[in-house]
Amino acid sequence: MRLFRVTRLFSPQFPQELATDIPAIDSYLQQIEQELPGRKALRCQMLEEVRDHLLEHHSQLVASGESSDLAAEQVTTQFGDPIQYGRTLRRDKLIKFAKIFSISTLAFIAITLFMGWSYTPTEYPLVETPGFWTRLFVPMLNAPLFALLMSYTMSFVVVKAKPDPKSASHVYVDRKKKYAALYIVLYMSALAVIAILGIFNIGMFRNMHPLVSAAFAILSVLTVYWNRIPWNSYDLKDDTLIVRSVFRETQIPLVQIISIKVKRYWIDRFSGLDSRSLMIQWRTSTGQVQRLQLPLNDSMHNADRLQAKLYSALEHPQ
Amino acid sequence: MKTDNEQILKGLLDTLVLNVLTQGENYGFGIREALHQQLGADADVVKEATLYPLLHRLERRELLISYRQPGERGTPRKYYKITDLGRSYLRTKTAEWRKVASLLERTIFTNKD
Repeated sequence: MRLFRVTRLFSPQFPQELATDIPAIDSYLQQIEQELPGRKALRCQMLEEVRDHLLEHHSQLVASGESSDLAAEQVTTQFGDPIQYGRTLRRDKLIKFAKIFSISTLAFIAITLFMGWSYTPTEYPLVETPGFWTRLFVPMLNAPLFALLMSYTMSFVVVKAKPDPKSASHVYVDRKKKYAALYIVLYMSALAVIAILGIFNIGMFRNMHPLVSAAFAILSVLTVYWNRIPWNSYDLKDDTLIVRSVFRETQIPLVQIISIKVKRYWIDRFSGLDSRSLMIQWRTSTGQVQRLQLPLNDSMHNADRLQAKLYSALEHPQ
Repeated sequence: MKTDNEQILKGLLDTLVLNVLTQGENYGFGIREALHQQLGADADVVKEATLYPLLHRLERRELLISYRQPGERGTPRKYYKITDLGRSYLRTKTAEWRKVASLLERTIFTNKD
């Protein structure tokens, strides 16, 4: 059974941008690619590293006097079995999918059962309440579907933003993704208002327990707050990090940074974009210690490079 | 005998890779070249198809971070950098290997010519 092929259904072709014009290397890359799951852009990203390796090794051999064909044969043989390598890459993705699917299925079941319970009138014992069994089983059926959609997107659709060759030290999010975040902000803001009204037994949430409405309100407000991140942008100059957020602009001289720690919040686990926050601590010229949280994720161009450069700045202060 | 040697070196590989990265950030082929230089005659143990999954595993364990930079060959090049956690793991592993080496030194190596 090669079920992973379902994930390639809409774009099964080999990504042409990976073609090297060296037949043996192209054929080798195609053999690996046949074993990979996900949409074309994701498969392309998974293959970039091996392509770079093969071409670098090939150039080295050609420079030492080997013919191009012989060098290509040699580098592909040396790399190892392409099918096996493709399967290893695929297994990583499938493990990620299985993990997210099982966690999110349980989470969705818990949320929907909790909501069902909160609607239950208190005058009946729980299992004798009209509609109890429906409320128990419908979420059991729906939850895996929601979870499947979520884990599929996070494992086989989402790709890292490419590094920007024009401005390698500028970290930003594309306009398209800003619109997507704006949609979530509007949707969750509306849900927050409905949930807050529900606390006072008004509107759609009036039959819910006030504590459940409050929990929804908090969750919605937090999601809105978190979705401000696409409007952040960061610039790493020679000696300064400039952080622009919706609320303010902060300049941090690199020599003043005393520590950088990575923190992952619960919401980061569900974004599928390797979201994390860098907790930066620095000492100002007056001796005051300040802290700033720098949210980063893979939809930001140059985000991982900024993190590496900040680590380097901390290791080798100038 | 060769197989035993390979097994030992494979067990060492994560330590060797982290050690290479203490000398500075590097990309896959660069790491392979550095390992080949260090291992000399035993370099064949480092197969590329083993090296990359190992790098990805170390990254998932947050012992490394990676970043991509625009490359000369049309696709970005992926660099690896050791983290503080990676350095501390390397220190622990080095101490463990040192203990093994010292144990061998005190037992087998002294008893045999």
